[in-house]
Amino acid sequence: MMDVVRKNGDKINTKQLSNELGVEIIEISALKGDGILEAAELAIEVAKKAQKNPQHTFSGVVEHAIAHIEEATVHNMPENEQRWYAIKIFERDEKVLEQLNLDYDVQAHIEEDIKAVEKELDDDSESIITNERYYYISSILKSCYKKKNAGSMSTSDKIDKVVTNRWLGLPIFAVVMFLVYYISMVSVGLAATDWMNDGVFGDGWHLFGIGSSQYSQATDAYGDSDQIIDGFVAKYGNDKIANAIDIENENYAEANAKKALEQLVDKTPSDAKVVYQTQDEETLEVTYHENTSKAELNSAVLAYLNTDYKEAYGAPDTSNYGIWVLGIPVLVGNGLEAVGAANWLIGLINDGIIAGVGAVIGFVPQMLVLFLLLAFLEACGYMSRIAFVLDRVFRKFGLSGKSFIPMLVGVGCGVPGVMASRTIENERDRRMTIMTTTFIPCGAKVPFIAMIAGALFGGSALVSTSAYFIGMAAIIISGIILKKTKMFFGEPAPFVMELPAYHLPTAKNVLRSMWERGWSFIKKAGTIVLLSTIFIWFTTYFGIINGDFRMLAEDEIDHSILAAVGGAIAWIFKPLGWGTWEATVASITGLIAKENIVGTMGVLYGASGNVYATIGSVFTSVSGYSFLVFNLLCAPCFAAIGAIKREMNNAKWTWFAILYQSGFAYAIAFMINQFGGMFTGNINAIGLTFAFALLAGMIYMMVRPYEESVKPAKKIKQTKSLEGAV
Amino acid sequence: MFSWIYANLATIIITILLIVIVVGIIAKLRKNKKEGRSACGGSCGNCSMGDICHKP
Amino acid sequence: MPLTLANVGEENIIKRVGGKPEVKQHLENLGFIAGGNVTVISAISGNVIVKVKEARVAISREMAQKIIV
Repeated sequence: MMDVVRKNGDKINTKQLSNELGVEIIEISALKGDGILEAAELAIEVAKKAQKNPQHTFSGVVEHAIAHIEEATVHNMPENEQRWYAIKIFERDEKVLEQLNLDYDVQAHIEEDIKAVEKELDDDSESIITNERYYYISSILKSCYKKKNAGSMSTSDKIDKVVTNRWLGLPIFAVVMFLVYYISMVSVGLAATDWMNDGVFGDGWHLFGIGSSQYSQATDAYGDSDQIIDGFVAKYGNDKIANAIDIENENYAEANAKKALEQLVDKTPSDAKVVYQTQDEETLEVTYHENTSKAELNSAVLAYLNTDYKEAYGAPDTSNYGIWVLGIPVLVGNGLEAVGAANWLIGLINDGIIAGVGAVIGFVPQMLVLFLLLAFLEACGYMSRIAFVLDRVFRKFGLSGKSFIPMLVGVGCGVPGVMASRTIENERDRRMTIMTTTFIPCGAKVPFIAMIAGALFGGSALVSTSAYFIGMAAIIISGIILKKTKMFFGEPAPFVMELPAYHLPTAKNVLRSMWERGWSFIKKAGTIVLLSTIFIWFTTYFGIINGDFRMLAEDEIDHSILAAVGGAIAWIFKPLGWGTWEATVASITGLIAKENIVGTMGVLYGASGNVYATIGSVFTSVSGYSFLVFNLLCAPCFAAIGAIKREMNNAKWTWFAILYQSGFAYAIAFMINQFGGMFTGNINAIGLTFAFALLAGMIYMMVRPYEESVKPAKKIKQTKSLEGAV
Repeated sequence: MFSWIYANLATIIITILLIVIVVGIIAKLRKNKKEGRSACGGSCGNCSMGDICHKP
Repeated sequence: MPLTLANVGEENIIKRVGGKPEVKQHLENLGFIAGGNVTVISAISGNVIVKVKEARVAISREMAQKIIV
């Protein structure tokens, strides 16, 4: 860390240090990569040469004991190893003692010596050695190390004063997380995702936006002309006129269209009042415009025939403005049709694979920004401070801040999060941490959170932020409840953690971390999601109608195999507000990989062309949020379940974890749906009663007093060891 | 029979291509599982987890 | 007094490190030894962040109480 040393203005006299220690010294900075090669080369060089042992001596009485020990035990070892072993024996190091397997009386003899030293210095042997080493270090440093501002607070310390302040710490954390999600999901994300979903994987897009402003001007000028004309055709026209003006009709000819419109105008009386409808693309909401007069029909016809600001009759064609790139489904569809591929194949590829995988890939821009921000947060050192700030909150509930670190890691992927629980020594705390780590939204859960946010909440960043804090709340609540059960009761482990200085992470590191996670996300989409969408597509577009087993049309998928299977289970989720087979199936595919939820919905709801709009019409805000929370909290993907199994090392505990998570998720989603219903007017008396009962039950589990029974549960065996009797 | 193959050539070729891709994906997933690679996907060197991961 | 009662920003000298042997060893390995300096940087209901031996360490209340300055 020489770069930090130099930045602080501190000086290390390397030559002096080298003399004192009797070894060669090289300055390196691992972060910047300075001097690493030289250090490695020097290490090789020195290893080849003969060793010169550094001379460090402890205080007299300690050296005396060490000499005794050397004589008594390890004098037949190579000379330069004796001292190390002797010191370890002095410290009563278990591993060394085991390895040496000394005679009983030799050990007893040494023990006398050690005890004598301990009595004289009034401290235990390990502490003596530790203390002496520190004195030795300080004495050397006095001559070699000059600190620039001795005693004053460095910048990191000043930042820490603010960030870990007892009142500001938590709010600052909340704001930071909100910003992270806001920047990635909304500001950058929304535009990028719209482009991906409607453009690249939709109809198409203007290259670099060339032509899009002209196009929007044209559409504005054109207004509702098409719909107005349709309205009048419905009332005063006929099929012939309708077909003649339909641009997409095979036999379309401009001359016929013009004639048909003139006919329509003739047929319409001058005092006509017509209703025409428009539909919002995003919300699928239909608006009825009443009392439309003939004058408006006339202007609509004029607009239709106008070729000043557009190439042809009818509505402006977006591909005629600027540089229009066709969307992938269009390109692929055209291509496949051109080579004469079968209909079902085109369906499989376009409505299955591309719809599903495309939906997931559509989130890549947002995910990249999110990963970038998270990598930055982790690398700069802020996250360890948060563990400390939250430890205070956790401790009140019997949890330790150490349980928080897996949670931090879990924001990227739940698997290393579960594995990070290894740092917790207390077995019960560890099991509890393993069980609750996956409550935090991992990278794979972000797509469906963003999807619900986009379809039902206008893309608000509050949705993802709330999901993060709901995950955290779930961990805390579960911790409180479980800590009061006999299985998990116990004092929280003491929390000690070294905090690195704040430093600006290098762009290279952060970008590399972002790219690694991003690439793994894309790979997952291209493999697991791809396979799942193929399976989902086949089971969706094939089914039995009227006794016939055949391929189904888009509006017939309610009769598919998948619908039948899903429908058999869907009733379970009715109390949660989303008891449809599609939602059920999506949640189940989420077990394989959480990204699948989006992929599956892309296939099942994408038939109409606009997934978000369909979702918007099938879910309400309340049921959508309930769906989100359920999938956020329920059992994680197979990979994470595998990690849980490995860490628990016990099938019973693994099952307990999964069932607990799913049950908890069900309960919370149920309550959201029922209580949310109170605000939207959808009150279900029975459901609400159950919900209140559940809530009461949960609160009771959190506040009840718990005393560990004083009597031991089992009779303690007299023989064997007394270990663990406490 | 040949006329049927000829008429549906595009479909057959594309289907075979798809099957090859699917089999390839499954093979890759099983290979990853054997090596014990976790779903995290990153290389342990840069992970900011502080080495606690211990990927076997 | 225990470290939990020390003032923020003040440099103190450690008089004694108490606690069970494992705890004591752990703390000493981090740099909390009798005679050494320690400065409290931030404190939240007893949990403290301190500067010890040029390193920044966060410790919970129970541990901090065992360090007497």
